[in-house]
Amino acid sequence: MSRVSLLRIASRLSATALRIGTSVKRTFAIVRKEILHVARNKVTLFLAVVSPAFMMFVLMYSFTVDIKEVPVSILDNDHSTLSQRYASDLLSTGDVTMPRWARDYEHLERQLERGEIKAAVVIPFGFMDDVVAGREARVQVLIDGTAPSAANHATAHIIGFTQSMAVDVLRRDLAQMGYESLNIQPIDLRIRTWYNPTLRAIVGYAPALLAVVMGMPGTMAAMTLAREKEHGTLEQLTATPIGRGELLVGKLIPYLLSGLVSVLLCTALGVYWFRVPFRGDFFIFMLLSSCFLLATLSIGLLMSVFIKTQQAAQLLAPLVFTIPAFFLSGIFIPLSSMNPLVRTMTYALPSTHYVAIARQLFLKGWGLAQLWPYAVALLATGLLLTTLAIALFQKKLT
Amino acid sequence: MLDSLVRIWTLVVKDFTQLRRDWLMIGFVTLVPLGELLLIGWATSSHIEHLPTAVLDADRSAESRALVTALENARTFDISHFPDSPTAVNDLVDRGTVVVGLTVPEGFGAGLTNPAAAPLQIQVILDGADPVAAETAQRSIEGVVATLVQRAAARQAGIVDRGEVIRADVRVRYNEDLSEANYTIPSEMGIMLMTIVLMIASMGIARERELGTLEQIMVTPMRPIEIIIGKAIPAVIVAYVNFIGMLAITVLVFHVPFRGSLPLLLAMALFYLFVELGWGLVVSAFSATQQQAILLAFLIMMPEMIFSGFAVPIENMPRALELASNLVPIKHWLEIVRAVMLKGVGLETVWPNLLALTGLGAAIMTASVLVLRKRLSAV
Repeated sequence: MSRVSLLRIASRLSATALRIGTSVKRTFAIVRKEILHVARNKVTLFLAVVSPAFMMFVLMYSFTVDIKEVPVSILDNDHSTLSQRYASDLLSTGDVTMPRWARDYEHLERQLERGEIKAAVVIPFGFMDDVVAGREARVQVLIDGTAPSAANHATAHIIGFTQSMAVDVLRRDLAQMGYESLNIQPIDLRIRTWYNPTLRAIVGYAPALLAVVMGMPGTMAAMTLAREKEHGTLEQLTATPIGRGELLVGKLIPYLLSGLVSVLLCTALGVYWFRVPFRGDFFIFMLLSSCFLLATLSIGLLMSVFIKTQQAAQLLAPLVFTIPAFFLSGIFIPLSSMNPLVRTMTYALPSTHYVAIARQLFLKGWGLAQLWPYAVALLATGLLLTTLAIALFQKKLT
Repeated sequence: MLDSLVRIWTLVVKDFTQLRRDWLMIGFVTLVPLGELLLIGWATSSHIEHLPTAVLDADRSAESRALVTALENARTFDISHFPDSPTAVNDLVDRGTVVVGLTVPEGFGAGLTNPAAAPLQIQVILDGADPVAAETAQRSIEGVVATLVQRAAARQAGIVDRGEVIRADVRVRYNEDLSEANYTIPSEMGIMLMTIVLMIASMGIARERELGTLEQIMVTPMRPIEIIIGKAIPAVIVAYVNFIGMLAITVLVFHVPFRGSLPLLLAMALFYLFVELGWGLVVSAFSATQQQAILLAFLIMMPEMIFSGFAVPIENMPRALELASNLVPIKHWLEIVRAVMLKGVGLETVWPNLLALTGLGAAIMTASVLVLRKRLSAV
């Protein structure tokens, strides 16, 4: 190889380096401009950085739930010692309270209709006679089904109580029949809930909810080009030597940074205020959060290329970021319970991956060794959509 | 008065013209919420079932097999793995392959009816990272085991024919098959309506202010109150059209029963939309730019999503939040929707909620109009 061609290669390399250098410089000019724009107005800055933490606080606070007593009503038509024992024992379990005795069946139905009670127990006439005579005795349980999870809870409780009372009655029957006691061993059900031993709801939800509130930077990104379009400043920007790619990347970086600050605030809130365990590596979490932010921001940028007004961006943003993240990313409905087609679609959402990442990293302490597939998916989405946004943006402007 | 109406009408026409010019926007506003309700409704109407489960049956007796079969029949579980050692069970849970790991120890079947045997244990490991799955699994397993014990006891006492000793005859009212869809879809509909009104209403004035066109409108004979009304009407119209589409999807596609009066619900929807509109105007009043408007609107959106009761029933929230929920229109709206659609009751039952909505609406509207008027005259 001659010295000349070496020189040529070297000069070409340095020219490329120079080009990249100026490109980076121009990109950072945009970064600086965007940061200035948001930071200049204190209200906007505060809202942008702190609002995810505020939303996180409200969301998490609502998950510090205790399953409270279910309001029930009891209608005792039997008035026997056994029916009274059934009623008082059911109430003494502590999981149900009785606001009022029902006077009659109509009264009971009205209570249920108005929502004053969630369940009702009717002990029919002849209840005790049936039990004593060894016939199947019945109690009628009415459940308000409008809220299925509360209804299931109430049903399980009342049936469980009735069964244990039935075993008591059996035992007594058998004792009368001459058996010492029933030869049935009680089963010791050893349920251990890993990662969240007391099954505090908030421990499982707090990491997952990050995916909902971190739709915020994506929303801001979706609005950013629309703002320039509305103000007519986009034409000014395109008249400068700044390339389209540089413009978009420059718009992306500030929201990535503000997003990371918000992740930090939200995490601190969860760990120090709500006592959610954080068993993973902090830097890995920030790294994976960057991947997630890149993916959502790239969706925002892509939207931004098409959208003409900030109003449209605002209307669309919750429908693209917050609502799907809340309902579809496996926070409340386990993905395994979803219809396979819907499940496949949910994997297209960055928030689905982030929910998995945050839960496993916070609670199981997983690291990159197990979480890399999610990271790859998010990075691929981010890079692909950013490239697409740049390509389409270029076409639109020329 | 007539002049005033004409002026308001001009502003409404202007806003719709702006909307129409942006054809993408029209598509978004009408199709996206409907499509999304379909998708979300479809995804969330499933029961919590098919949880991947590992079972280690070390006993291999008739009793242990009966237990495993009972679990399979419970549908909550998809028994996908049969590991051969306790370590393998732990591994499966640790790797996240299954969310439930259940071990039936040796001697379970023999010990069940032998009082001299060591205490019987069934070991269950749940993945607590997903609280919904863990809780559902726990409840389901407890139910299966309780039934097993009662059956074994009855069989031993030789009273199989007698049936159950005490049978709890459960009748579910208003939602007979406990369909999740009947609960979640009205929630989702409420949330999406709220989003639409809030987002459109909150930006209307902020947009004019940011672009400097508010001053132009101010120099016209329009009075501040007319600007506010003119800006509010498009939001309500768009949301109301959406409401009708979503209601149709809810009833026709998801078969949520509609037992009450349709005109009543249609009228109530207007009250709900007006209160949400009030919140949108509050946001409008306090934000200088559209960026601020969206950030503020999100802050209002979050509590509404929470108080839709989708994730946590309001009754289970801390007392302070339970009280605060009364200030949030969606709570009252959903109580009305559930009462009218599922219970089939009318005004005689839902009037407290209607009263609350009216009171809230009056308070929020007055406050926002006062603030806006002041800020508009100060432009």
